[in-house]
Amino acid sequence: MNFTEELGVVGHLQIAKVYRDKSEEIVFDDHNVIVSGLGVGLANMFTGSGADNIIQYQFDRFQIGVSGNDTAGSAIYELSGPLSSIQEYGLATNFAVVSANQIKNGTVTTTVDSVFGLIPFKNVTRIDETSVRYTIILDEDTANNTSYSGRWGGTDVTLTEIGLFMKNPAGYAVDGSILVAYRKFTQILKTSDFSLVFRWTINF
Amino acid sequence: MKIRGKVEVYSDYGTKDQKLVSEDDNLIVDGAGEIVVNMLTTTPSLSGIASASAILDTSNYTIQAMTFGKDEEGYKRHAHTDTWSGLDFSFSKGASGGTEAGPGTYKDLLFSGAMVFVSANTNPAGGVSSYFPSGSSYKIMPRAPVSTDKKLELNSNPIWAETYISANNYYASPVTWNNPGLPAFGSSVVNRGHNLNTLLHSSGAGMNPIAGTSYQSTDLLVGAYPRGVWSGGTSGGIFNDVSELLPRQDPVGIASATFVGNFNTVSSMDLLGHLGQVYQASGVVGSGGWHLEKHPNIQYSGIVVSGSADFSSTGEVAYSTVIGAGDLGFTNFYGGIYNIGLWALDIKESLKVGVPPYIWDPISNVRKYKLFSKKSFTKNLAHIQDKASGEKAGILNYKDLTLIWRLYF
Repeated sequence: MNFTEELGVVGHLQIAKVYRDKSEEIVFDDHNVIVSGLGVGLANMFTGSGADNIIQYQFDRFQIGVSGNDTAGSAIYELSGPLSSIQEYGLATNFAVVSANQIKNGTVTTTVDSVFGLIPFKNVTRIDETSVRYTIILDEDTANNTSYSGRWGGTDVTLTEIGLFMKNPAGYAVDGSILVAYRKFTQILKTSDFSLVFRWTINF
Repeated sequence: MKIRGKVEVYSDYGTKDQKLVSEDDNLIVDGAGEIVVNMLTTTPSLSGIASASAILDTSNYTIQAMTFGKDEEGYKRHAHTDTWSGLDFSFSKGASGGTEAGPGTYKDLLFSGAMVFVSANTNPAGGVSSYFPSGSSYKIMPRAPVSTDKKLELNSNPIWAETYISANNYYASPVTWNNPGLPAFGSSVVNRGHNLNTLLHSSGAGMNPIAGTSYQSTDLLVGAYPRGVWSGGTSGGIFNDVSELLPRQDPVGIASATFVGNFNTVSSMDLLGHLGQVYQASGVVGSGGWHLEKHPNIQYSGIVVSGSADFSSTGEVAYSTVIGAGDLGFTNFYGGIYNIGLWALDIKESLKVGVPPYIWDPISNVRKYKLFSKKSFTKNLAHIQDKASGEKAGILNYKDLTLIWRLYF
């Protein structure tokens, strides 16, 4: 943390293509945007007015999208163009895909309207006392452009954004997830030739 | 995103005479980040283990305590040391400090309360009957807070823990040192960095008596909060020097009073000086649910956590409590209040003792805490000064202080 009176929460995202021969190519390496949703979630926790179990405050899910927001600031609460179905993530993904509500700008919808990929807990690593890393892997069968290009009216639609979500801080009966970190990244045309590995580190 | 906080201190809070005594930013320390990362990296698989699932309870990762203290040097001065001189003098006159004759009293002691001596502090009096911890003999300066702090001060050992000083009774009133032996304390109470609350239960704090005496008197050396109303409170007195302690009659000091501690009346503070959240506030649960506004005095029961109606947009969480007049007046004898700390439960350390839930017990509190944020003041929150003639003496004129610590996420 900084030598200031405040605790600055920052994050860093590295994206790598990993090919079948295990070779790795770093395609993106930069800071991210910690958004106000993290504050909302932590305020729920520290007031004791939200969920009474910490699982609900953990960052256990993500969304990937195709229409990145160039001007994203801390007020952003959703991806511009998230993948919106299990089919778009791929039926043979290496992680679970779930549907849930999403808290957007302080409001949670009453119908399940969003799709998230779940981050296996084994991919959550404590780096040091105040840092945690989330490793998100889109394997060769996951989020390939052929599964969503059609919906976006074209071919070769690229992935350009990713968001990290807190599970259900308000403790709703149906999960109401909230965006806590976001990053637009370099266009990546996802194909079955490689896996994409996102190494996302959050420092408190 | 940044997590920040500020501290507000009021007198006469909620009345037409409400006065803002202090308002300033705090320092969020690294422990805050550690608490959040603990939460994020605790395996959710514990939910499937009946004996361990309580580890996942949110309360194990949130703010649970507040502490108060002063500068490092202050733990070697004021009533910590002057009371030692007073007891020493008392023992030299044949007092035993033995069996209690009644609540808050000790057999044969010449004065059974916290003592400060003008002669030992050069300039301690803020008028005829007020005590200024910041005398001219040394300048109180709390340690500059840094983000790596894990407690309020690095060293809060009393002088008897440092024999090179205690052998000469260096700081104390210049009386003959009879050296009946040094008091000893349980290791858990040593060097906590903030004020302790050993008057709550002396033996519970692991305190051993000065040789030939009873430990009941040594709790006065540590203080730093008076007994509750059920025990009749605890006395404190300002004296010119020990000669004013007279066998078999009341001392003729400058001023004395009996202080009744609110913390120990409602059992909201443990032996180690952690003021806890409200756990068992009587009468607050009704058929209509719990509403803070219906319980205007609940801050007297410990720390009350609240969020405004729009906390989800402001990210504001408030921790409020009242430092009672008796607690303020008495702890001023021990150097006043220059540091305060906000502590979260340290689940990793607490698990070494046992699994949650950790029931609040002020005498044998199993909860372990991690410093979340701290605030140091340049002005003593327990400051008092004699007013114009016709008003009560300074030490009798304390008012409750309301402390509101706001965090913004």
